[in-house]
Amino acid sequence: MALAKTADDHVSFSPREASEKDLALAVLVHRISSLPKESLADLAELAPELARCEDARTFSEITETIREIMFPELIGDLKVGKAGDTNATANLKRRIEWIAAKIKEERGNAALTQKQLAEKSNLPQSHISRLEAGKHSPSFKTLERLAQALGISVGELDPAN
Amino acid sequence: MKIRTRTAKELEPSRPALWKLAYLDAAASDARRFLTEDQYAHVVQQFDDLAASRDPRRSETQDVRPIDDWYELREKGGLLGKINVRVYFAVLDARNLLVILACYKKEDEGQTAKHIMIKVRNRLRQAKKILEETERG
Repeated sequence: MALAKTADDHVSFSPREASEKDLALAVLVHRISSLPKESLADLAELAPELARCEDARTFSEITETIREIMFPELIGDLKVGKAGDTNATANLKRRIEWIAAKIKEERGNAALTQKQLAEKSNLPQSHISRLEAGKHSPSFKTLERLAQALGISVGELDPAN
Repeated sequence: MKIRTRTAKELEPSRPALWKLAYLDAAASDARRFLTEDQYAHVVQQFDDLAASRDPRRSETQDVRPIDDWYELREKGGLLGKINVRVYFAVLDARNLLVILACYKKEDEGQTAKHIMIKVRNRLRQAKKILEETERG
């Protein structure tokens, strides 16, 4: 047998004699034993989660996490800078422009200055200015606050509606 | 693993970034798995906003909540439709850096699942390790 326990309880391994299964197991054992203690603690926490798991999505997520702990290179590099080209999508640009015009229109209907709208919505005036200039895609939180301040529904600030 | 510096597009001249942004490859992959290009670009813009804010932990314009040693940006509706996105990021004050760690599509109510917490915790460890190794040169 390729894997045999010695008197010291270390598993001795003979690569020449090992089957593929034994080889894979030996690599895993070596990998796990060389993990830092925080990673071992994480694996220990994940094992019962995996055992308890009842749906395919969660199972997949847990095994992905286990892989990343055991093989950190799977996480990839750390890149400095934006995570994408935010000016690249024409659809997003159209959406931003629509929302910009809508906010300005509704602000006019409510007879509010930008400053007044900022105070009423608890948003920075600079942010409202940017939105009306079509320079940013507003978050849901921002749209909610604006809608409330303008006395309209959030849906009215969404071009999809 | 290493840091690779991409050419950073400049924000509007009147709005300098107060924080540098960084992201793990795995975080970008997470997001691209379930977001369209438009949705991805929208989420990236939310981080532009955070990077330009004084304190990204206490944003007036984004839904940001503390979790463990990092933070969670929550975004939904509008362009995202029914998708409930959670983006996990760390704030490293000493480096003036926001590090995007993971992106997740939340499909149920309730707290963040334990395995997601462990994933983010592991990625934060790896991100810090990469930064330290880069500094050592």
